[in-house]
Amino acid sequence: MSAILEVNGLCKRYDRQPVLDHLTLSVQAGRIVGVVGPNGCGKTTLFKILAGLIGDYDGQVSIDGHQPDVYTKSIVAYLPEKTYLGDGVKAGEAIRMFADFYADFDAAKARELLGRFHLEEGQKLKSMSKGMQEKLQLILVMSRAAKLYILDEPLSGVDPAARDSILNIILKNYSENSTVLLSTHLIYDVERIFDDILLMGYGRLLACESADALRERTGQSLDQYFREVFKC
Amino acid sequence: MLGKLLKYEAKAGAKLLPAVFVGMAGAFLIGMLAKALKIVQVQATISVLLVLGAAAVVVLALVLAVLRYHKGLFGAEGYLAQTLPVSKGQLILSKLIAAYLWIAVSVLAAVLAAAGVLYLNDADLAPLADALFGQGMTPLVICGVVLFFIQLLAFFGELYFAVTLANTRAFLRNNVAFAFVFYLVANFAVGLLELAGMLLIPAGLRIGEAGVSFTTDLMLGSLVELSAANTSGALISGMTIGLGSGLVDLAAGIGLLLAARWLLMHKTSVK
Amino acid sequence: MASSQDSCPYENSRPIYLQIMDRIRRRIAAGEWRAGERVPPVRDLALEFGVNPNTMQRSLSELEREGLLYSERTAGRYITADTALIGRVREEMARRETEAFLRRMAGLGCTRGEIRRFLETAAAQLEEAGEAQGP
Repeated sequence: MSAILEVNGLCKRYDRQPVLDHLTLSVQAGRIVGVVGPNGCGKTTLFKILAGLIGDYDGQVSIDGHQPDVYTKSIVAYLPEKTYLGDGVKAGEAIRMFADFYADFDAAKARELLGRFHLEEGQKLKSMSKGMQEKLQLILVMSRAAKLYILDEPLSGVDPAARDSILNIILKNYSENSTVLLSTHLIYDVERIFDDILLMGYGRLLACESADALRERTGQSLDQYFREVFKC
Repeated sequence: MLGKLLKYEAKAGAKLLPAVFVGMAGAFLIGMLAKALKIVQVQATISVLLVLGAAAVVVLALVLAVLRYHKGLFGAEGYLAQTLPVSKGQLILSKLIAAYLWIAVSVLAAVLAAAGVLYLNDADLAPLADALFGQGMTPLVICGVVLFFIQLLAFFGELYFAVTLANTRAFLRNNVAFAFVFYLVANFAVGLLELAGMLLIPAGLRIGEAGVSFTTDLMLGSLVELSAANTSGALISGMTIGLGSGLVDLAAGIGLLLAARWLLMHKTSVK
Repeated sequence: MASSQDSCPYENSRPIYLQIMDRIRRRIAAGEWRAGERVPPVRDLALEFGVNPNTMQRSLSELEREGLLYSERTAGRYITADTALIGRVREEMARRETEAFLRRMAGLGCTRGEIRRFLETAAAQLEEAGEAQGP
């Protein structure tokens, strides 16, 4: 098993505030990794750098042996927290666009998932609730056969029933060649699917361990461990 | 990939502008009807509308180009555009080409609208046609049109560079305000260079008795000659209009676009 | 196929792979997974149990080490045909349930006589309702 992702001494400042402070980590292929940390710990910034949205940083990032570039964008499927599809875009149009640009996109699967979440191809984004928009964007990402999925809070705006469905989709998508980085605040609901956990705080990596090993070592759930580490 | 990007860029503009075109065509037809029925007020109103419309479409196309670049790369849509498996150069180029296409179409619409107004008002086109195309003035007209499109390149270079620079770390927080400022500065700088180029680069059109011809005389020289002739009362044989501004625009446009691309690759962030 | 126990969520403070092993042992002990039968592929099991395929893989490997499952190189994974072993596992699980039950009843202050009485009444009721087997 090789490392699909290597980050070395990653630093990123906004104004004078360091958001990422010499972050170093590596992720093996075929793992489902939970990335957890309090607000402002740098998770989203890390994800944006991996996705290629931030080109201005210090340190090394290597995805499948490449710096973030056109190649990595073809093997990375990124799901941001915000809605990036235009208001007037229809679900079916979004599917066609993804099929156009991504060779690993499975349009049939996307349409099937649309049905499962009770969305229609002809629906425009502006006529969808926030939860529906998030589901659509998730469907687009999970219908790709990417080597690295980066999901930023994929469950936050979604109802509990849909959450189970989404977790199932993530598990179903699993393959030895694909890796999932998932950040969430709903640790308790989600932790059963994590292979490993990356605990971030103050722009740094505080812990990097297999989920079960942490449970064995501390006798706590990831949720309890998190609360203890970041007690206010 | 560029073709696909271009397709989506062109579609993005295809919402407002065609509607305005159809509106103007409709107005023209109403004007024709009014002309046949000799309702003068309507005819006059239509003429005014068409003139306003002609100006509006060109302005709209330019504004659209600005918005497509800023919103498309640095707004929420930027999350999509900058994670597509395409190079930053392709992103910029697709927006540039789409912008050119829509502006060209708008200019055409504006010209047609102007022609329509003239037709509605039975304007005598003969003297105008003669001024434009007779007496060997055609090269001047052609140069004017070509220079317009080359100047657009400089415009886009200034614009894209300004917006991109405004989205680098130091200016990201107030990116819109900084984009404005950077554009004005770039425009001013390029404008000065244009003037210098126009006056000092030895390439121009000599307009004289014999018509229009290409020359390597300096426009500066021609202006000096003109002012000397003014004071001495001597006859002016003609004047030279410098084409050097076009060369400056070309170089500035390309340079600024490449700089924008470099910034986009290494120094920008999407909020 | 899944018993009612499996629809309970996992206890997040215990390693998940151990909990999966418990649940599979229970299925084997109860005969839901019969001796000698083929085990479904890891991916399907992971989905059924709602866990990570890597975690499921670990649980199955550990159960192989305990001898409850075995792998045939190309043919896949099977439940052991060793009914004696399964019997021992079943006994062990039953013993542990009993001990836990007895401790809790003792915590309520019940005597052995009371416990026997509760047992007989409840068992008879369950048998009548068809939810349990007779002596």
